[in-house]
Amino acid sequence: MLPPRVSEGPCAHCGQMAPAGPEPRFCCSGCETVYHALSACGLDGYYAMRRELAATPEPGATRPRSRDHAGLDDADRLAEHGFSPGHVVLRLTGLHCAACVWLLERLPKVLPGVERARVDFGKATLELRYDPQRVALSRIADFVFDLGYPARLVAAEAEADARKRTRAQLWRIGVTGALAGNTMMAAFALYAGELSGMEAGFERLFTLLGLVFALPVVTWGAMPFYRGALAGLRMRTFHMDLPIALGIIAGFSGSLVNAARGNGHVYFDTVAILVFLLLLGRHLQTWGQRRAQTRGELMATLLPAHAYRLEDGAWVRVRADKLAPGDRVRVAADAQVPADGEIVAGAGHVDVAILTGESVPEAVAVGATVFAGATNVGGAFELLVRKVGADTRLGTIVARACDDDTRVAPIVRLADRIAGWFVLAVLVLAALGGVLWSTLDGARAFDVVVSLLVVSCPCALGLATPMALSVARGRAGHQGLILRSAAAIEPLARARRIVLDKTGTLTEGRLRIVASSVPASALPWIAAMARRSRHPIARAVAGWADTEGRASASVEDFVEQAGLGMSAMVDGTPVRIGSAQWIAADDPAVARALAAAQTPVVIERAGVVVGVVAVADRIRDETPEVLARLRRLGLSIALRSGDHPNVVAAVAARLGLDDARGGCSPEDKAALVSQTASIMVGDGINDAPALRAAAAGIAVSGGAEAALAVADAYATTGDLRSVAVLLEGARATGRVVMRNLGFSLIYNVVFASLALGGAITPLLAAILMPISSLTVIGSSLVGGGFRGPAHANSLPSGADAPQSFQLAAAPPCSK
Amino acid sequence: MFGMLLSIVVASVLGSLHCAAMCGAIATVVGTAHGEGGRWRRLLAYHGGRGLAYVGLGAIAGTAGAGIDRAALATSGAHDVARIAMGATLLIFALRPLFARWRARSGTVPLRRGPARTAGWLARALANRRGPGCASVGLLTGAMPCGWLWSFALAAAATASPGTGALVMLAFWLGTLPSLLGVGAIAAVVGPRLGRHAPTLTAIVLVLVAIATMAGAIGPGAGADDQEAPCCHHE
Repeated sequence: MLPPRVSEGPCAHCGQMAPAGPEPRFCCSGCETVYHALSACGLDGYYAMRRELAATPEPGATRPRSRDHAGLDDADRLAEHGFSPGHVVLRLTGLHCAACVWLLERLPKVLPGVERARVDFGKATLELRYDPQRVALSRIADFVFDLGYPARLVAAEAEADARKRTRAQLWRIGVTGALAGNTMMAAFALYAGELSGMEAGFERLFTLLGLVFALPVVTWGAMPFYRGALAGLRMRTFHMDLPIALGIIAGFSGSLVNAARGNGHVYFDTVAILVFLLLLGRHLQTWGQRRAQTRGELMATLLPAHAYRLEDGAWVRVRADKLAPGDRVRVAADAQVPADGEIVAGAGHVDVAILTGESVPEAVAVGATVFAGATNVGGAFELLVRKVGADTRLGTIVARACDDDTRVAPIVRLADRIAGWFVLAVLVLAALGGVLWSTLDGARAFDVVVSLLVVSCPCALGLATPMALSVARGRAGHQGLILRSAAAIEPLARARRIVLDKTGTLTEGRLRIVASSVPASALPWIAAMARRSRHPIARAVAGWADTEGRASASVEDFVEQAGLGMSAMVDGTPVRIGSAQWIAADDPAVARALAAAQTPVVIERAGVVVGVVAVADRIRDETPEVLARLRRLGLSIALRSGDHPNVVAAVAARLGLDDARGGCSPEDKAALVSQTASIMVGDGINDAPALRAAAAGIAVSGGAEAALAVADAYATTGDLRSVAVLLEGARATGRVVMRNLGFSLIYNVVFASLALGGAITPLLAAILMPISSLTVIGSSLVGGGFRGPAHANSLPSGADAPQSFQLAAAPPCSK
Repeated sequence: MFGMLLSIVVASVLGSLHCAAMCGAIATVVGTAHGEGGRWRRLLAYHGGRGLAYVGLGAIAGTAGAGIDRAALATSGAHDVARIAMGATLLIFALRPLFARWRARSGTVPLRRGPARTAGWLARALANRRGPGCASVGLLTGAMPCGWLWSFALAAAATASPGTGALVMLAFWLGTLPSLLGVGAIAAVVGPRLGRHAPTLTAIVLVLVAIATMAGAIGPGAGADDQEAPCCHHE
């Protein structure tokens, strides 16, 4: 929240960090005075002597590395774990709430040389990009450690750390609870004494007992809150733990003063129970959040859940995430490949549509490399696993997709900013409230301040948005929808206009020849020529001609005209195959085809039209239903296609779409969607410019690799219904976000006012605080969209996969 | 009263890393100078001079606080104005270093005239490293532009009583003794570990003092029921 201090350095006198300025720098006037005094009488040798003694080491580089992080600077050790200096992923322990993520992602602002820090809460990892010349990894790890998060390179070590930490946390809760109980016993005695009278000596004794029991609670028990608050201050932000820490300290020191004075109320029991409840609440919150976050495991939805691994000569069914490089696994027919690897036995046909969009299965045999996520559509083979999980090609695609810089949604940033200012406001309010109450009713001032500080923890505020977005993203994954970033949900929920592509989006994208006026004798050379192109229409023509005629011809000087057709010398004669706009033909078949919403393809040999074939594409069965659902969302729907305007008009008429236009180039589409801030739905390859230009792009075909490079969302199922699910889900998520934000704002305003008015005791505040966070977590888990049958691991096999196009050219365009 | 003074001493000890960082150099110079007189005599002169300056400062601050209270009572009938005003000022003082922006601004200004003069006097006093020189160095410490010192002067003002104000500053002086006498040990052992946290620690202690001041825990009325407390207050 506060701007980082740039080019600051150690104070010339005391060595503390001093603000930027000309050398020598000072942290305060006091240091400046002493420095000048010492210099004036020739005693500046003191500084040289001090440097030699290294009595006050300069912060940063020269600080001894005490926490066995030195090994992190060893490039060989990094390489063992697949990292290189400059980019590593560290496993963290001690992450407990959204605030930690928020804190750690500010590393680049406070540690020079760190370029980027990204925290994955679900996996408890910190991804770092840094300049090894400017900052050592061990130094970063030390810093992160000092903030309260031990960082490790190896998962097993981190897991051991995490287990130890959870145990320590439970210990802390248990011991704090026991001590708090005892503090209460002492307090009960005091309360009883107030009613029935008590000797001053006994009163002193019980007060002292309360102090003895409360002391470890306030010092050791509440340590996590102090650590959080301090870490925040070191990062120059107001951590959400700051008001809590101050509340505890204020309550305790107030009681201490009262106990020393021997009059006024003593709050040891309240403070102790408060710490206990806060610890318990935090534990519950971490648990709830982890539960929600594990849903976000995107990879799990794209890879098979199980695999058959060779163990002692037998095939054993194991969980796919337990596979390791070097394992041998069997991939049966119609099964998904669980990991990247090399085929060591058997053969098959793999469909890699999910990766590349290539719909024709590829034959693979011993020695071939196959990739995780691909489907084996025929045969069976054994695989020597090379890479698993996040290291696979699919893993890197997903990682790259998730790695988007725009990941932090604007609304999350807003909530973060609000939370930061909120803490400041609470501190100011508490100070003012304390002053006010000490004049009104001094005895209650501490109650008021402590309640206010505790009850208005903005944890719920900070959690509200990221929680809802990440739950939604995880759920979308289960529905077969990969979102490049959780931030994409926002524009999806907000857009009012949607632009749909025709071929492969509204239609199946599987083109068939439905009519022909071409003589059978022409089929062999048509097939020979059409085979040279990978355009969907050419492929349809080639497939059709191939089944009818078998012979081939020699094709030379083959040239493709993007959006128009192709020309070549076939057996020495010039031949053109292309759209009716390119090759003028008086054939009535052209008009007939256009009238029937079919695409006419004209075939010309030596300047003479030989015949016309009509290509048709079936409208998907689910299209009318999806359009109806989109209309129900209040979206205005437009159809933009590169196909012949007449064909587009016919399809639009059949689907009841008013706003339809054909003959659009990919650039036309891009211009249109960027002007109107629309959602674009199309094919990840042919509609790439439009998907990129749109407020939000949804790819329904074209393969994850290409689609996620340009689109915000990719429907792995290829089902158009995903688009409706996505938009409905995004709207529902938007509602959850607003509900969460509204709830936490109202909660904070109402309870802060009540606390300030003296209506809430510190104890009630301690109970209310975690409840607000848990309510937000619950609301995110219960509410929101993307409900319905999970789509995990039910990927399309080759036969069901949507036809995808390989060419960058649009379908025939007619301007 | 005793409890109040004890908490001031504790607060002062907790925050005195600051003193080691700032005045440690002076204490070291005084202690190791090849001047006349024994080391302990020079240290005694320095710390004694410092104590005298602080107690004087406390008495003056307490008188000023009493003046504020009397003026407020006469003009608006308000009670305890000094206590609350000083507490609030202390709070701002305490939180000020946490605000990087303000610190950055205050740090870049050239040495102002007041501190420059103090620096000159200090230099002259340090140049004469005999007993009287060391005592005047100690006395001049009372004029240091040190936020930590002036925070406790505020707390002394909040008592609105010259006597209690002087006692508050005496307690503060006591709290600074361990760190300034053990400068070497602190610099070598505690410094590297806690040094970085010193500003935060200082701020936290100041917040506590501020709260105690506003709550009336520091002042002539504090610990009124204490049996051992000398009866120097009037309600």
